[in-house]
Amino acid sequence: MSLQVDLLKKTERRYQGIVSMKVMVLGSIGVLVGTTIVVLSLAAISKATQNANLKRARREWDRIRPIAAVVRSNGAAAESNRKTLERLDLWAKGGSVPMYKILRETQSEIPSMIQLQSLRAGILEAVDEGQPSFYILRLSGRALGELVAVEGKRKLNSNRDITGFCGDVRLISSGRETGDVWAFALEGRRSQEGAAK
Amino acid sequence: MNWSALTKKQQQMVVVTVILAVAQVFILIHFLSGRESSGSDGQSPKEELAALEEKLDDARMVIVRAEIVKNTLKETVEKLDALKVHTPTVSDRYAWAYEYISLRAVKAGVELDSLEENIFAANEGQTSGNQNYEISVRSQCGYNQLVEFLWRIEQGNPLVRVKSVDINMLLESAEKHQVKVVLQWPSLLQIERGDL
Repeated sequence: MSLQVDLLKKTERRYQGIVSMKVMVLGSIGVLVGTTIVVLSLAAISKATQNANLKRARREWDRIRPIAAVVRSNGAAAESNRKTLERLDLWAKGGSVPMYKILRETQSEIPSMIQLQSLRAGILEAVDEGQPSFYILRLSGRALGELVAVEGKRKLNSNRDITGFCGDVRLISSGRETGDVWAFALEGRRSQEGAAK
Repeated sequence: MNWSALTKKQQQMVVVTVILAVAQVFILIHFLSGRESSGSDGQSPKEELAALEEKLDDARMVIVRAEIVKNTLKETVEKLDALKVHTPTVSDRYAWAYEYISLRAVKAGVELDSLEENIFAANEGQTSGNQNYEISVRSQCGYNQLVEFLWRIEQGNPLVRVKSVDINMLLESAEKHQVKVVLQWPSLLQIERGDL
């Protein structure tokens, strides 16, 4: 029977590997410290570059911001003026021909057997808010013959300037006055929606 | 490696190594992610730079169009300035409108009976200055004279609007009619001049 006695203290024992434990640990620390320094250096360079870029961008922004603001303001002003011009164009023309032309065309389309007693042409404004206004053409008078007013209506409706102004003209009343004389009223109206008020 | 086989000093060195490794990982994460905040709005420099670059690109795009925008503005201002002379001035618009209408009535051979301003009560939230300027013209004239009068009125002013024309037969005359014409002008013409 053999007996092995280890008389070495723990601190006196030696590591049995090829490379000592101390070298391994110190080496690891060295590598870690080294890589940390490299990483920190790279990070510092990156941060410095980023800060420089940020400063440059801030300087550039401070320089061009007022210029861009002026251009934007000019753009907004031009857009506002363009809308004003559009509104004014719509305002005066109202999407139809001028009034003198409406009166001239009406005169040319009315048959000679008709005597007008009243004529109203223009914009009939809405009484209540939210209700549409209308372009209106209203004619009343006497006609020599029962169907002359209908013929007048047909002729008015064949005129594009008139229908463009007030839409289709309708016969709204017709009645015998005396003998072959008929009192009548014609009316056309078109909603003003979309036109400037 | 048996931990108990290490001396106390070696154990300390291993612990230091592990701590250093962990610290390095944290430092790496910290710098590579760029999370440190700088601005008052809590943006990181990286985020601030990206936002600034975006704003700069937008601003450069806007500035490239500066000349076109300025020319467009100039053009619209010139057009509106040219139109402005066709609106009644706020201070003495009745005299302005009277002169305009009267001159054309004379040329068309229309004798004016009256020329009245239509005064509107201001609506809620709207001043009377925002209303259209409206004039009622009354006359007794022939149909052809009226057409010529309106032609002169409408041709001479791009902003005038004939709101309505009422023609009624006169019993005492076949040639003349009782006529009422309502004319309107926009009372305000706002011109934005920008930085011209």
